[in-house]
This record gives sequence, C-alpha cells and structure tokens, in this order.
Amino acid sequence: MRAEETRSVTDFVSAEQRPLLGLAVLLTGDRGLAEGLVQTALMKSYRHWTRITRSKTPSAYPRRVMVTTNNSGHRRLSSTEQVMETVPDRPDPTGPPDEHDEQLLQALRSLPPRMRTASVLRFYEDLSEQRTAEPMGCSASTVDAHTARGLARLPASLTDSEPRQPAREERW
Amino acid sequence: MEETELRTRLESLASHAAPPPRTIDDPTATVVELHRAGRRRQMAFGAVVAAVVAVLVPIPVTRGLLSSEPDPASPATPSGAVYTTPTRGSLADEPDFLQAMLRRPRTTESSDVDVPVPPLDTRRVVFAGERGGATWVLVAGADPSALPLDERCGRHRSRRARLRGDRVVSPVRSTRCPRR
Repeated sequence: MRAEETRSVTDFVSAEQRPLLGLAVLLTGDRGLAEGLVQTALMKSYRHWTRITRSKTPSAYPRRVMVTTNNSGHRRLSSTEQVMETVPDRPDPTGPPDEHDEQLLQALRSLPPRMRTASVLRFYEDLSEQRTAEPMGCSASTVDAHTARGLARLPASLTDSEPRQPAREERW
Repeated sequence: MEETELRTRLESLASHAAPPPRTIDDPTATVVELHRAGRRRQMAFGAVVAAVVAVLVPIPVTRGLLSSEPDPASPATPSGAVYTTPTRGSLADEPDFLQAMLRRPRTTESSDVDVPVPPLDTRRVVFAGERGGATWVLVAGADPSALPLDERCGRHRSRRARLRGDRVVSPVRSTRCPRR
C-alpha cells in the first residue's frame, strides 16, 4: 500500500475509531468485545480499502461489517484471541463506568443479539426500518417487531442521565 | 421504556465509550499488523495444503505406474472444475479488473514456446489476488487446437457442454501483473 493510501487509512481510522467503538459497545453490550469488533471491522475495511474509497459513504462499510460480524453465530460461539507484540490494554481514562451506563449495558446484554442490533440501529444510528433491515439480512417488518419487543423488554426503571447530543451526520 | 428516552441513553452510553488516548498511528498500525498476520496465516495454511497434496497425489500415480494390469476402459473424468467454481483470491470481487485480465493478450517470456490462445468466451479467471508483494492472476481457457470429444464422434456439442469442461483445457497459465 502506498504512503498516501496509508495516510488516508490513518485519517479514516482516527476519525472513525471513536464513533465505531460507541456503536460496537451498544451492539455487544461489552467494552472488551466491542474493541475486538472494531478491530475486525477496521481490518476488513483495510483489506477492501480501494473499493471503500470509491463509495459515497466510506464509513458505512465498517458499520455494516460490525453488524454482520456481531450477528454471526460463529463469532458469538467462539472466543477469538489475537496475538499482539505490544499489550494493547491501557488504563481507562474515563474511569469506572457510570451507574446509569452500567444499568443500560446490562439491559442491552439481556436482549437477544438481533433484537439488540435492531434497537441500536433504529434508535442510536437513526436508521429507517428498511435500512436497518439491509445489514441484518431480514425484512423491515421483522425489524419493526424486534424493535417493538426490545423496547418492551428494556426495564422502565432506567432513568435519563444526560441531555441528548446533537443529531449525528449521515454515516450509512 | 420510552423511545426518546432510549435514544438519549444510547447516545450517552456511546459517548462515554471513548477509546483511550494513543498516538495517531497506533490503531492504524494495529489494523495493518492484524491484516498482515491474517495474510501470513492464509499463506501458511496454503503451504500446508500444498504439502499434503504433494504427498498424497503421487501415491495413486505411483500405484498406477507400478500396476501391471491395465484398468478397464473407462471414460476420463473431465476436469471442468475451473469453469464451475467461483474465482478465488482477494481480488475476486473486482469485476472490472477480472474482465481486463480476461482480455489481456497471452504472452511468454520465451519466443520458442508456442502459447495457445483460447477463445475469449472460454476464458475463465481461476484466481486473482495479491501474494508475495505482487498481483497474481490465473486464467484458464479451452485449447483451440484440441478437438472436442463429441466432434470426434460427429455429434453436435452445445455451449453448455463445452463449459462443462469436456473439452481439453489448455495448460493453466499464471500471469504476474505489475503491482496495482
């Protein structure tokens, strides 16, 4: 890969790492699994970098990879480990997780994976039912059923902790 | 739980999942290293498969050579797998590149070797991918100098029959392309 392409990969990873990790935490309900999922998505994006740069929304590809990878039964059943030269673990600068966040993480983990995915894509990524259905490989009506059941199963006792952030830019 | 409340909580949770501060090249270097490690694993697996094939294939061949009893006459199984299996390799999903490779004229480094030029409609890209720092493309096609089996029998052959592979396939030739 040429130097300019490497620079564009670096820019892409720097810009997307944080939002991807946020989405991955919601999809998996676990910070450790989320970091692995982001690495997998970025690695697959790197593999198809030429094709991704030609698309209108390059950031959609790693998100799609994360959804399909997280929903694959093989990944859920197997515990994959990566051999690294350096230890990637660092102290978490954000400190221990907020009590409200931990409650929500537990609630998300209690949902079946596809129900959790549908809820996150609809309510966090603001995707329509049709666009949510595409990476999930199901129909819009199935997405509707998943999200309705997901909302019903999340405990009503979860309370709001912070004001809503501004609307996100188009990523899918 | 209300829909608006869930949206707010998901935003909050995702914003708290910020990655730890690292140098700007660190995540990229990790991704590149993981990608290369995956490639190395694939190549190692390929080498193991090649070694197994190299050990197992000579056994029946040697048996056949040593056997004094000729086998009863049986039609040879056509090796048309290259026409029915999808193109393999990391560049298999780039149709423009594959089409360009199909149309690429066949050449050889030695002028003494007569390279058969298969008709365009019989050419097939078997493999297209990057290995060892270069792009490799493997194209197979029907040898125009070989007579189809059915023509020897004086029967009409359909295109489908040709594609099934009951025509002699030319020696498969690989092309080392300039790095993309």
